[in-house]
Amino acid sequence: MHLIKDKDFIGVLLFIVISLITFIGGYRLSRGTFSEPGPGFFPFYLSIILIILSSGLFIKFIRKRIQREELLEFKGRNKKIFLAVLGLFGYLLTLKIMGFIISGILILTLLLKFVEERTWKLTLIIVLTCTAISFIFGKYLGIPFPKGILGF
Amino acid sequence: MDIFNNLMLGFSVALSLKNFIYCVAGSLLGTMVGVLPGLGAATTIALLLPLTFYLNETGAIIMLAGIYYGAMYGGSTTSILFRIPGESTSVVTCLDGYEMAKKGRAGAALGVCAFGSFFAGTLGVVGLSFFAPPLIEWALEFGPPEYFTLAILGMTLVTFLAKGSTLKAIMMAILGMILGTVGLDPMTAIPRLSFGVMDLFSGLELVIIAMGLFGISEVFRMVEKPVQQEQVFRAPETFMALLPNRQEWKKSILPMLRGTIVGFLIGVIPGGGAIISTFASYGIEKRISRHPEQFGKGAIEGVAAPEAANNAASTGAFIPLLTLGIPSNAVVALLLGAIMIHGITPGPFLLKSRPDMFWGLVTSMYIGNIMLLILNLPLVGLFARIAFVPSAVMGPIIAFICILGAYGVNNNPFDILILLIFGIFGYFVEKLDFEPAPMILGFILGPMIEKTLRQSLALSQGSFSIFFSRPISTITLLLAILLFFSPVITIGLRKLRLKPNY
Repeated sequence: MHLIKDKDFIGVLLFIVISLITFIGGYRLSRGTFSEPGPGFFPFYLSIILIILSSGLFIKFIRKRIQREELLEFKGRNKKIFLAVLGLFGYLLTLKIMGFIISGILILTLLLKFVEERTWKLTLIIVLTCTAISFIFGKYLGIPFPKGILGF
Repeated sequence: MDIFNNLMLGFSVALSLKNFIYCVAGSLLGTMVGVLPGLGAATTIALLLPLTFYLNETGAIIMLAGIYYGAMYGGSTTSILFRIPGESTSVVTCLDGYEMAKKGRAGAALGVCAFGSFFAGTLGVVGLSFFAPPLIEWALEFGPPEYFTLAILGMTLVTFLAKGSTLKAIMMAILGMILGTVGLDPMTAIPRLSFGVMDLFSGLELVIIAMGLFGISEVFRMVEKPVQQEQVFRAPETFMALLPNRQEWKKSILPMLRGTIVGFLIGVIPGGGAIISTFASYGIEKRISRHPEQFGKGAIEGVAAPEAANNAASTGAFIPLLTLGIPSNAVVALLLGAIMIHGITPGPFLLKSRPDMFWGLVTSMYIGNIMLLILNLPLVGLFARIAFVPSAVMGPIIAFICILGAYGVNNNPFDILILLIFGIFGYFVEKLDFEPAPMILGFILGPMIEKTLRQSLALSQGSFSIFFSRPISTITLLLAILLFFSPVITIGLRKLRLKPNY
């Protein structure tokens, strides 16, 4: 019994949640009439279509289960992916404090050295190149990157 | 021979040494900036526009044409090499271009891309010269019901975009349409599905969603692979081995031609857009291909047709601009602005009052195209070698470029958050066999469908019969229904034919 791990089953759950959020969002807005559709008209009916389609996928899942199950698998280096995701969100948090350049150096080092386990030499080369590119972006293309407490 | 004389006039304007140099400089700069994702053709032109203020009017327009083509090509380059669509029009190129690069054929994809653009550009200019007046009359027939049915026709492409389950593809497309409604309602300015988050009021940005779904999710997939298992191709020794081989050329010629026609026709309709034409031509190629199963796995037709369509659509977009003064997309609007800065008003009278300007612009677009081919063929070798860098090194760089690009779109850190969310979402749903491309299509067409549906219903006072009472919309709708059910019909016919006669 691998109900929870079946790809289609998880898909159904995910899309039901999405359609419910949309349904609530659309319901709260004015839907208007067919001759004068309001702002909630489109999201509301889309969410209903999505619920119907998700039910279709659910029926397919029930039928299929009799024959075979397709399980969701996370093969490979799950811990590393987790580290990468965590690092990227951490990056977003530190962006305002450290500034674009320093947090950029940190995230690249994390990804290259600790997630991908490359040599320090290679890490250094790539970090320097990327920092140089950011400088060019900021200086010549006038993109105002967030400056950290250090002022750059 | 009027048209011939006109084109000659154009070339004589565009081909002076000075203008030629502007064109080369524009193409180079455009490619360099366009390669950076998030900076699409429109942004690139906006960034480099001040450079052209110092030039005379023709020189400025020619340089802008060069920048434009350069930026477009730059966007496709990152799609192929990194699966980062640097440009909304190169989202489709990701599908097969990146797969080709993974198989070591990045050079071939890049070569077909450059040549496809050139090919479509050439035919586009011919089309522009011959068909501008009749086409503009046709395009003017388009009201909200026609646009609605056209968008619905576009949505039926979802069934062709999907590699796997059609049901899942349609679900993703609907999700894309829902995401398209996030932000202020275009008609009443009431915030929708933003749940009080101010940063969402302006809506979601296509390029950021695409970079997350394609680029960041690919980074996670790269991380997932154990270091020992990563595929490393050895770069071929000779330059010629990087370019498309004879078989690849043969496979791409017809798709390029079809892509050009589709792209040009869609481009002429104001608001039709180059993006839709890329999806449309991809769908058509997959539909008529004898090996549809190869699409999404590195079919060169899947690169050649959309790239040609994209370019032909941009050329087609000049018809409404130059004849009616209607800019049909952001890039054309910027070019319009640039023309107006130099004191020229585009519109029906431009052709009569300033034929040198009109034809100079048309031919300089063409020269920009040729320049691009000449400049980029040697660069193909350099770019293609990037595809041979092992994925463990590539991943972090892609992540960084995506972040840089996402931030660059609006200079807002919130966009990086959106990028990451869609990256994780893309990684997760692809594990569940949901594909990202239909979602992008839904996201692009959703707002168009909503706006035109609401306008049409308001026009007809709530009656859906409006879509069946006008010739163009009826035909388009029938075509959409036919296209949607065509896989079923084909299977049915095949079964009938296979039935034994006893």
